[in-house]
Amino acid sequence: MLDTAAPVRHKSHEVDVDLGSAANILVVDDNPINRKKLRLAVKKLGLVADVAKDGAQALEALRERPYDAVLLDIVMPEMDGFDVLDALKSNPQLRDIPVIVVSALDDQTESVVRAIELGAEDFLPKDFDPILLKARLSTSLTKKKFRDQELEYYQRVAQLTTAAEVLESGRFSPQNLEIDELAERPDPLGRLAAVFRGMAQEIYERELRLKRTVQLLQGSFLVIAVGLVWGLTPALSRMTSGIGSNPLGLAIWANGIAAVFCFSIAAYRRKLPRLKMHEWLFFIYWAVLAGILQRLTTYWVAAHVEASMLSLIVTLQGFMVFGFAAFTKLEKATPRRLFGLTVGLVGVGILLSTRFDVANAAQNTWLLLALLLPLLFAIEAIVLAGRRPVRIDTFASVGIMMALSALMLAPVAYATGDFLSLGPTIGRMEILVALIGLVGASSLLLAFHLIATAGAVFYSQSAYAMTLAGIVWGMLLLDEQLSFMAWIAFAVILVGMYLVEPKPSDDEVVINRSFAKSSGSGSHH
Amino acid sequence: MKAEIVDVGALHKLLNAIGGDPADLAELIEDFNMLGPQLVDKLRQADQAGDHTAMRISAHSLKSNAREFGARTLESLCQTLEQQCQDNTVQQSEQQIMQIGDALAQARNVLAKLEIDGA
Repeated sequence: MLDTAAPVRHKSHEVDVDLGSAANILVVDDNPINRKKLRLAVKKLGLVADVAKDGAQALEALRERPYDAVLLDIVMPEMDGFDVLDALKSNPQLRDIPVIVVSALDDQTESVVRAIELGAEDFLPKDFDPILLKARLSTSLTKKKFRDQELEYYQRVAQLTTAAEVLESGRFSPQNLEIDELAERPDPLGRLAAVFRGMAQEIYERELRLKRTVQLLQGSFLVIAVGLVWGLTPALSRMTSGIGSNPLGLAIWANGIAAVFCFSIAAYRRKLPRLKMHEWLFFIYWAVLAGILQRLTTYWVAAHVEASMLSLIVTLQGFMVFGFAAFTKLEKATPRRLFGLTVGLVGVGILLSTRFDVANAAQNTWLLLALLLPLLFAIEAIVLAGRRPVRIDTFASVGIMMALSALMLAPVAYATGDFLSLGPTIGRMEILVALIGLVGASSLLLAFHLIATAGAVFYSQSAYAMTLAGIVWGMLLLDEQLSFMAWIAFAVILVGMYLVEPKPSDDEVVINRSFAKSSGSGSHH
Repeated sequence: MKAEIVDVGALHKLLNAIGGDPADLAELIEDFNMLGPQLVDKLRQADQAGDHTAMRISAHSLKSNAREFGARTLESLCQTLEQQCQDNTVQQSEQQIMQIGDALAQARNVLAKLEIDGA
């Protein structure tokens, strides 16, 4: 009788080793009895045991599921333990799994040595003592745990290195560094990541401020340029009306010349586009709005409302654009920007107060009609900001709009007998009309660029600049003197521009310099 | 006599290794009763085919199981045949396999009569 109640454990030799929680062990043996024995022994240690009956099945299992250790028999038919070891160690994904070869040590010493040379972690005799199995597995699992931690550490170092490379490449935002999780860890590498992230954030904010300052300066320059160029139109128009032109006839010629000018440049740049149906619709809409409605309203209202008053009314477009932009969420509507627009308006008010005779102002219904003008300008700015076909060249866009408006106005001019006959000899009228066309094209091109880069709200300030330009051109052409108050008004308008600030184009910062020496051919070191 | 054919100490060791549950040990012995004759058959087939590698693997497998269950005679006979296969010095293989079959039958007989009781 086999007395299984007898004390069979070697209590005095038992060692207290931690096997971790539920490590996965793969038992590989072709002999079912040995397989079952090993599986039961491993389970007894509180570990999870799977079995494979040959080498091929073992490799399949190892590829499918992560194991923490393998107990591997050496003598097996077809693919023996050496073959399995060889395959394991040559696979980068599997090479770090510790393998304990199970061998009858008495006659297999050479085999065990060979297995260890092939990368086996340890060996276990077939008639093992469970204490020995526990000790061997514990050592292997501890090594595996350290190796896993080491690999994870390397992965984190690689993550930080990638973030540093992203920063070094000069095109980043704090989000695309992807080290937030790393920086939350309490170890030294986590602290390094946190410091790195902080420094990156500082660089980002500094570069963003610089980028916005450059945008502000560029935008302000363009606003003034638009105003100056646009401000020429009324003066030139007045000069042509003195020698027999009419508003409709002038508009057709001016728009036509502007279209030819813009198409010529677009053709030279090889940027003449083929339009899709929805793009045609956009340009027809724009032509009706800017080429016909704006122009005709300007002529009609200008005939009844005093010019200075009209200038003041036109500056209201800033507030209208702001309202539209805030409503459509096209741009950020901050109190600061609204305040900036108000400051600009105050500046214009100061300016006009130095020239405006309130008693003679046409206080009648034409003033209400005049409000159409800033409304049309505002709608145009919002439409251009939100709907312009970005793929189409700026010159081509302005050219198409101008040509369409000229074509749409032509039948009306014929019907009303307002068509203006010019040429073939080039006189004062021809030169003035050509100038009006070129000025119209240039101001629209500048406006188009300004809306695209600084946004509709910032662009709308060109109305202030236009008013300013009227004064400046007056000084230059008519020898008018600017009063002290006018200079103050000028300064107030500039403060307004600073407060409105251009729309930020994006949140990604591009740094055109390198922190580290590059080995590439593109290096300028 | 029984003790000479099967070393009970080896069985104790096996029971200890698998966690001390007699039912598991009984199951293993049952497995051995099925697997042992299959391995002897494989030895015969390999011998007839002159395949010393297959013969070595089967002898190795049976030796290992014999050791687990304390069947010393069977273990010794299998080890001799395995070594001869390894060294390519196989002699009178048919007779050796017959002896192995007898030793296996004796061991199975003893193991079958063994009362495994955890009480």
